[in-house]
Amino acid sequence: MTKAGVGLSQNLDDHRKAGFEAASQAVEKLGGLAPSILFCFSSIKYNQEEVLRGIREAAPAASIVGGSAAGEITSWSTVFDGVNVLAISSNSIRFVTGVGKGVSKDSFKAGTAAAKDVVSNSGGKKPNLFIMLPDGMTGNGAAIVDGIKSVLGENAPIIGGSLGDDYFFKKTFEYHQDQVLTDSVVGVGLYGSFEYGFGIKHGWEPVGLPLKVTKADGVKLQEVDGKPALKVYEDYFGKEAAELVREPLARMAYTYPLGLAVEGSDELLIRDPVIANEKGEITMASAIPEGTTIRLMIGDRDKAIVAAKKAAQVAREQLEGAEPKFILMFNCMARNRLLGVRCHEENETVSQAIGSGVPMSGFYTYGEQGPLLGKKGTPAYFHNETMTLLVVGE
Amino acid sequence: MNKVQRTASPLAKRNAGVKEIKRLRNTLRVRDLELAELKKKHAIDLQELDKVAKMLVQRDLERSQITEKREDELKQLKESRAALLNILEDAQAARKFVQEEKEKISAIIANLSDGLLLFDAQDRLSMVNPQTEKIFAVKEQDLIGKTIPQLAAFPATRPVVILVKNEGEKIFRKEIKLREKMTLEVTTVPLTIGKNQLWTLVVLHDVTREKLIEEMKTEFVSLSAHQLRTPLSAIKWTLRLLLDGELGNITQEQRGFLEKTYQSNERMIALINDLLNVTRIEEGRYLSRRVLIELEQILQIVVNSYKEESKRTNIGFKLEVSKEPLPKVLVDLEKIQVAMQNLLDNAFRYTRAGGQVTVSLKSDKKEVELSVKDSGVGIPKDQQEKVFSKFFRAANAVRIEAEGSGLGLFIAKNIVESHGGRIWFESEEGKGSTFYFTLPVAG
Repeated sequence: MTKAGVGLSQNLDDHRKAGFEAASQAVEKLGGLAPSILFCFSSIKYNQEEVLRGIREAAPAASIVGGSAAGEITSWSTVFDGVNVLAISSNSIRFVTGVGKGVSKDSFKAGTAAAKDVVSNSGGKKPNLFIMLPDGMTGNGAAIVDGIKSVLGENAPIIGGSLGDDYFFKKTFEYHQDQVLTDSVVGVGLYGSFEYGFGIKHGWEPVGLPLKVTKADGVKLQEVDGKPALKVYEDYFGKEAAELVREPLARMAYTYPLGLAVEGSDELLIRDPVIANEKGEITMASAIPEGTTIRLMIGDRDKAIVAAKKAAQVAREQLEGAEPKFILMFNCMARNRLLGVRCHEENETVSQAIGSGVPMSGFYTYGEQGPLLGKKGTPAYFHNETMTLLVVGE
Repeated sequence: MNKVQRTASPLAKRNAGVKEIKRLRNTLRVRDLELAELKKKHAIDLQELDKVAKMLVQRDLERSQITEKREDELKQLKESRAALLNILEDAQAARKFVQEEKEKISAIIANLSDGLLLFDAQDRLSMVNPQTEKIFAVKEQDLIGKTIPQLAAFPATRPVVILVKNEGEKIFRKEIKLREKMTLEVTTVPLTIGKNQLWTLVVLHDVTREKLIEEMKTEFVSLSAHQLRTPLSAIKWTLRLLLDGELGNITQEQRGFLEKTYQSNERMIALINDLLNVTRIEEGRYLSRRVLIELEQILQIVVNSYKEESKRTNIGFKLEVSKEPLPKVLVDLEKIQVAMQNLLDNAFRYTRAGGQVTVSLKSDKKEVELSVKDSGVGIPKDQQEKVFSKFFRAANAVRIEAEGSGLGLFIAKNIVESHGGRIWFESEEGKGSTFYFTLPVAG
């Protein structure tokens, strides 16, 4: 039996109270059951340690995971100055947590460390489902995923979202039990008998001629079609390179990311540009290997909402009739930018498509992780701009 | 002619083949050219598409930037609107509060049982309340805006206005009889309104009833005193007869009792007289005809009458008169004597045997000054304030002599001040007192 509840607080006057209020609200909805684990996401406006202390006060015995976000989502609201908590109590699912540090130093290794930590904490068993919460600003997101895959298996069910910091793009935080960390990846392994569904879709479409990556170094995209990578955006935006470097590029271009074709998906896999330098090299959120064909992607509000709905439907179907118990949403911050004042529409669409009574909690991420199109049994990738959903049921 | 069908020679076959190859080559060449053309066209089309795509992206970027800006502005507008609404709410609440306060104050002023007049910084009448209208039997609109001189022209308001004009800022409960059944206590209060503007608030307190009661009280005392005098005179006359032996011999013992009774009766008569004097002072009927004399003359008479007393009580008695001739004063003879007697009575009463009483008389160009100095018990500092009050007797005085009306100094003060003089004292408990009064020089 699994029960879940979501709480939200916007108490900017007292950060500790904010954490306490959000957690208490969530725990109350468990109807007297003690929570096994709390997923907590908080705006960077709050003192992270204070919030965590408040949350711990409300749930002295539960596991706590989560981190800072670029927006907090529940089934009834989308806010940008809140603390939201998903409390889960279950006697059929066991939650085991773990952490890997030093993402910027060696992202792959940090990934393996997190996965190994979960496995060892569970008593040596691989989990039925692995949720990852990596730092959103440091290291190479795709490498972290690879690191986890190297421990759990190439096709292991992995899903998650990168933590954010209210669009400052400076520093993000991860919560593991009572610690506020940074440059880390937190992992949660789910063990036991339960059903789950993935919904992963973005709705962006390619535009313009295909381009070839002629020179790349890790996450740095150096040359496209023999010319400096930044030229792509210069041409498509009609703007000077200097301006694009200054802006920074991320802010202008995160609704116009680059997409690459991957086997097994009708949608292109999206990569966000983060920042450009004077040489015209673009640092991407995740590496695009040399020789890859890329296209510029263009987003459309209505198409994005349709994609979100589709993702929700797929996730629901994957439950194969099981009753959904809770939803975790990893929604890319770029989608918030694209949809503007309509951002809550896609969140509501998801909630309604799965069941408006199902407790839903999530946050706006700086990157998402999961298998292409949410197909179970296929390798997990690092995504951008994508609506990524995990529905757990029984 | 029929040509015989023969098989083509190898050479002919070869020539045909070569022709075919040439034909095919041409076709291929043409096709190649066509393909190249198509490819070129295709490339141009793609370039066109790409150009369009780039334009599309640029337009889209502009649009999304504008949309973002617009949504930001809308958000700001919403916030400004909310803030403005808050301010408006606050302003409305404040205005409502001010209005309520105003109404409260207006209600208080309108219903105040005292009359209020408010003069602005230019001494123009700014406001009167309904009670003022009642007091003067004038309507507000006839008074507002008028200056003090203008108001003085109204017979109804004249007395009050004159008082305010002459004594201005610091009037405290000054009594004015406006007309037969209207006595007012007038008080002025300076107010600072706005930026250092000095306004004047005049408060009219109706004391007609109080005055009436006081008058009734005085009348009553007067009547009672007169009524009491008659039987006391009869008693005095009868006792005198008895003591003078006109009704037969009396024993020594009987004489003793009769003397005591006579003295008690005398004291009662004195008290009644004092009460009557007080009522006459209060009714303003006290002073009679004044004559021009030298004060020394009266003083001598009074002093002589105390020589016996001095011997009897063994208290030294001295008179010091200034060597230079004293100017004349205009006085009510009888009353001035009473004043001097009251001072000397006190001096002797409150000085022990062996003490000293000194009377001095001097003058300057403006006034004549008399002083009575004793070496008696003095007046305690905490009682000195009330010494001239009606019926007041200091605690130590009461201890020395239980009986006494407490009216002596009240009457003396009245007499002296009615003549335009001043009266005061210096005293130290245990050492003695000196009482002074002055009278203005006549002329």
